[in-house]
Amino acid sequence: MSFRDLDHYFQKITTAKTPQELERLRIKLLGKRGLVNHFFNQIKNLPLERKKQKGQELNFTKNKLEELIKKQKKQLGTEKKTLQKEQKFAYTLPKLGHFHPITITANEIDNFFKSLGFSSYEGPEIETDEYCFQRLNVPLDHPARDMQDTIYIKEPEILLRTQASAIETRLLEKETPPFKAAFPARVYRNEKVNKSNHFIFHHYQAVAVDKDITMRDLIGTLHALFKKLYGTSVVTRYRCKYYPEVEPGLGLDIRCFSCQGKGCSLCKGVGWIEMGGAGIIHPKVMTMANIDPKEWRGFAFGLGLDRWAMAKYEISDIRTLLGQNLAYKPNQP
Amino acid sequence: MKIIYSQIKKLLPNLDKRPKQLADDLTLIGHFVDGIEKVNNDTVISLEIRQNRGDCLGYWGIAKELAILYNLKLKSPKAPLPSIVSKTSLPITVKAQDQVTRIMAVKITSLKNRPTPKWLKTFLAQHDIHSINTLVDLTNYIMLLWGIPNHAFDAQQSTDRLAWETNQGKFKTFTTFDGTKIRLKEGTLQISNNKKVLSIAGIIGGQNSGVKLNTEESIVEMAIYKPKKVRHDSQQLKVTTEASTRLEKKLDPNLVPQAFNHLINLILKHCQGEVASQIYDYYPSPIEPTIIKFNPNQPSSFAGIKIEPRFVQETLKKLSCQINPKTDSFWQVTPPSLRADLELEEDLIEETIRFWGYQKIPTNQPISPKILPDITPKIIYLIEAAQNILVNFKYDEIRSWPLIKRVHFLKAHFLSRSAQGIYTQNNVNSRYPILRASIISSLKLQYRQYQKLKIPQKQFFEIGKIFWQADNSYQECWSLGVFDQSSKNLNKKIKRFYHELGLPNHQIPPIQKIGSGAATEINLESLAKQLTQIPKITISKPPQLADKAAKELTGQVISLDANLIFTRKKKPQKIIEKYQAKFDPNILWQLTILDIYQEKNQYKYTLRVFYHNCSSKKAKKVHQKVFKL
Repeated sequence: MSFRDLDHYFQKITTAKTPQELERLRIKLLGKRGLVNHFFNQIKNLPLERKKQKGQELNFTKNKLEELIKKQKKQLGTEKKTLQKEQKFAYTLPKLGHFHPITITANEIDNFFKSLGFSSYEGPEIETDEYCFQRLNVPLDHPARDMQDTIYIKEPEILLRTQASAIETRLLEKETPPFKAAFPARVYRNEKVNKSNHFIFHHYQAVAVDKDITMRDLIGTLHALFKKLYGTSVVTRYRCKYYPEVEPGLGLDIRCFSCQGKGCSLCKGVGWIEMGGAGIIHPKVMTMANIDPKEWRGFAFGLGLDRWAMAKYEISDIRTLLGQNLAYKPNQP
Repeated sequence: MKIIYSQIKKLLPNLDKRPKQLADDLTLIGHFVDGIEKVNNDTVISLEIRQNRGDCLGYWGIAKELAILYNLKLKSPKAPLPSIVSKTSLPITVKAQDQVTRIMAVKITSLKNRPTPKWLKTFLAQHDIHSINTLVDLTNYIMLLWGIPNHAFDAQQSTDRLAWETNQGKFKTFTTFDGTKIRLKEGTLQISNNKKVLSIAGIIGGQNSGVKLNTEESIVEMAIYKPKKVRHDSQQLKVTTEASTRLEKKLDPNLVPQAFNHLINLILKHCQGEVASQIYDYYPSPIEPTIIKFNPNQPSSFAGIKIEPRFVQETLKKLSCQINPKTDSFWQVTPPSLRADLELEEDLIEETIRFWGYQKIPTNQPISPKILPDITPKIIYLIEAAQNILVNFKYDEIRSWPLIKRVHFLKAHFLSRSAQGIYTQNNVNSRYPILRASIISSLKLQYRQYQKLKIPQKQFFEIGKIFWQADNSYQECWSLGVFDQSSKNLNKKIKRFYHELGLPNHQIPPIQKIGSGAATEINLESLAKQLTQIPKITISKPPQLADKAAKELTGQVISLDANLIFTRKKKPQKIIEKYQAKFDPNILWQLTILDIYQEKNQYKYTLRVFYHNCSSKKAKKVHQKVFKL
């Protein structure tokens, strides 16, 4: 075969109909083991004069081929669209859409509360000190008000909400009892971002105000939620805990799933993992919202969503949850 | 706070609970145990004492709680003072009267201070406190035992003329007992002798008057201040100590004499010496008792279970409350001064229920599912619908940081020209000072990262708040951003998006290029206003509970090709399914057929395999094995 036989490829290039076909021709002609390189190897042993002449001719043909391929590529609209070309697969399983792990986790809890007749709610992320702290009975010297905990927009008045309870204060003020609402919320704390700490978190808050709310209702609701999320074998614990916005206050734990309560490094030897806080809404909080605590009683509780989602999705770095390293396998439900 | 089991036993000699049980019970009554550790044949229990329980920042308070819980007798340390013959009054002045609640002080002379005995050294070490000498260590011992900080000055250095005052700018710096230099602020509460600052009140003592082994005369003081002042000074000077942690909470001034006498008693016992002054006691405004109207039936009403009034009464008595029953449903209850946190009927209700036991409240009765009016805002329904539509359209949801770098700041197309960005004032992550004013900024960052990670098939959206400042007010709204690799596809999908929401003729918002793709942004709040009703959108493929599609990528996705040659034409899906099963799902991202080519009687299938979270070496090894290359 002589390298002049390459000429008939000029026509093939100009009639190539798809980028794939063009690419196959390019590889056949100009690839590492392509025909052009094959002919260059053949002329290696020719006498110097002849080698020079053949070499020039071959280089000329090679350049023409390259030019033509480039031109055709442009025509097929593939240039500068390497990405699309790369991804125009001949066949692939259909891509699926995905919810973010925080959304899925929140939706699971939403569904539980919807079944109990709860509405949803929302509120501003830029909050005032009044709604984020004062109306939650957080005294002036409470550590949550420290500069290092709160991100201020305009100190001391305007801040980024530090807790979902700020939405609760809006809800209590705006709505007329009785009501029940449960909602996720993004909150901010002034913490350095690293593998295990973030300045943005997600809370889940539930509030119910009615005539005859009791701690039994609260504990029964929490227990049913944990059973729904972790299965009927989940072991829960409800204990007294102080929060300024509730009285009586309640801490909620589940038995450590790693050591089954024996004590391990995950639970720091205590056998339990803390899940959140709850309680009967403080009478001062109700009064500030113009709800008579003698007539109405309410419960409220808050859970952290991030660690929960991280454990479920085996995410080891909290930055991934709200970061750009989280991606979805396209074909997996 | 840490407590040592053996020390608790000294205050509760009849305590028969094992440390683990004790820890569990303390947690249940409100003192969360976050660690139990065996140290030298003893058990160290770490407790989280909440902000309202300053009384429990010492062994005495915790032992009192356990005495009530287990119905045990509390053994108070017997520490009588010797009769004081000195007629000398200490020339102490209190200038900052509005910041000081109580001070007790005394001068001791002829001291024989010495190295700390082993028992005391060990005890302090178990509480992570460094031993100095017997006198100083006894002050710390008393602080841990009674929860009330105190301080001893070398009287030859400090003189007797102690003054509690706020710094008026006269003193600029202060060197703490451990040699740390602090720049003093105006208004800091301090103890001085008019010539030098001896101590920052309630926070830390100074080097210039610290007690040393050769100290022979000392003024020992125990004081309680206004908690807010201690907290303020501690934050302003950036100094947190065991003392400040306690004094920034409400402590009982009526407990001071008991703790102070105990301290003096121990000093005289271990360092000998003589009391050389009258006891100075500044307590101008003794705390007024709080009288609470209490209905003994309320604990049952709150708990949702029957709690006998007899139990209620017994518990309040054990708490040292004075009860004055007026009727069956109305008592006047006066809590002890130790319990400054008991102010309302609800506080007493909690006390009763926590000692009754939260764990006794049945867990089998969730709140009634009765239907109440739906108060869900319309925007929430729209967000839910938008998420479902876009997931049905095969887009992935992302969530990103609303705080961004200055260089990434953009304004949404629907914001007015006068809208300004909002900066945070004190964000410790100072590289991210500004709140986003467009979701497009977030989409751009995500696109760049996916490019870096070489993610195929990039199609994603984000729903979140954007923020801006206009007309001197801070504003925010829900916004939706959608990215697609193809602007044509994006246009088509956004048209369908509006169609699904019942607005088929809605104008498509501006589409802008991002890299090789395109993105658009929709103001969801203005969209919600256009909709009278939000349609219910169901998910075509509900996500599984065990959804494992979301992955934390630790490196680039690696793509490798392989050719398969068959003599017969095969269904591509069958080939993909067959080969997918051969890979470890932990490293297989996606398997696709890049090209199908027929040459004579052969069918050539070019497969592209995407690997994730593995090295290229490993990917090649797996690739060669699966395709027998």
